[in-house]
Amino acid sequence: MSVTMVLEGSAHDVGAELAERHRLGDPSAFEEIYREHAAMVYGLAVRMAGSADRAEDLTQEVFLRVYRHLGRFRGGSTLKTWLYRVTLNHCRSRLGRKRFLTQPLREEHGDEEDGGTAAELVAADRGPEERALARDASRQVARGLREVKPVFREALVLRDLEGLSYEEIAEVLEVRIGTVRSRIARGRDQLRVALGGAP
Amino acid sequence: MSHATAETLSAYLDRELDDAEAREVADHLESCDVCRDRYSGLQRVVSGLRRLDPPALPPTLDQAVARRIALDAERKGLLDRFEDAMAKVPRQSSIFALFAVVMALAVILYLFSVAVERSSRSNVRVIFTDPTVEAPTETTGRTFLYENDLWVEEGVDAEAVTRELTWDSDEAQALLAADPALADLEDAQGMILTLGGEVVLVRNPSPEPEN
Repeated sequence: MSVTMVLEGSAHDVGAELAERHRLGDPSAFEEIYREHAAMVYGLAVRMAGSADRAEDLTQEVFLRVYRHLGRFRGGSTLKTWLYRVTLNHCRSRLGRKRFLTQPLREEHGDEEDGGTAAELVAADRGPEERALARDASRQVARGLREVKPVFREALVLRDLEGLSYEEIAEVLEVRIGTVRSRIARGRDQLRVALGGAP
Repeated sequence: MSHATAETLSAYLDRELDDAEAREVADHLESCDVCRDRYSGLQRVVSGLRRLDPPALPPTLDQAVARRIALDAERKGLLDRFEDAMAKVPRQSSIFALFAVVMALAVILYLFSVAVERSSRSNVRVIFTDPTVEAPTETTGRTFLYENDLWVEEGVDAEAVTRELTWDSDEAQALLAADPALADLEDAQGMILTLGGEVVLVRNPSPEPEN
């Protein structure tokens, strides 16, 4: 079996090419996708589930679905958009749609909601007091984010943590740009209130 | 310009306004203390959010994913072998054939990619068949499909709306009282369904614009 590597091309082409390799039985295609996108899927799952333990299970399940369905990906969207959708759809179904979309999730395991962050481990250049303050501030924001209704939290995470444009978010969520704008604004407002701002 | 809405300030911060709108907001912020304070607050919230570091990947994740995929492949291999065995069953062996069919159905149901979940908290069922397709939702006999941020009752033509209601209206609230599971559909802009022989759009209330 020969495998053709595409060195240049659009994001659509790369995704379609990986899907084609996967259909042909090339295990390295899925491995490539996993290596490149595991952090994104896990990060999204943590923010939506509010718990590192649940996020790990969700991530495993998402990649199982990716493995099963990658052969059907035809490049209509970018692979990353498709992965965002698979992840969010799976989180919605596993976390319970009503709970997922309309109610904030509570902490399940005390303060270990994020399982630690990479930067905390490497911020050796900051003094201990500074690191502690930064860590507290981050924890407050992470906790506040869990108070945001999931339907708004999705848009907020895609915008402010994943850095997607409004257009890209509209494509992921399959809604109008006006809806994206509204959800981001409402999410930020709920976060502001959760962090102690006046309602 | 009266006070800027939260949505406008949010879009301004993201540089998602057109040039004319952005200029108008910029000019307004120069002269309005209230909006300038609100904008500063918004910047602080967004800045705090953007400073969140990505969660570290658990060291067990790689192996766990590989194990799940291997297990799935093994189960699929078993199914393939079972189906091959079924194909070889002689026609006259009716009892064995029946047993084989029952077992195959049981395995297929287990492995089939359509998952059906029943929520224990409400009578909403979520059914999905494809990760790129939004999940349809069932609620007490009606099935809704999610399209373009609207829930559309299955079989109803979304273009044939003859009347609009808001969720706060008496009629919509009566609908909700009769079928509380419909509250699960409040996440979208609204829903389209048949009501009294008509096709009705029930809009979710928009956030109050700020003054």
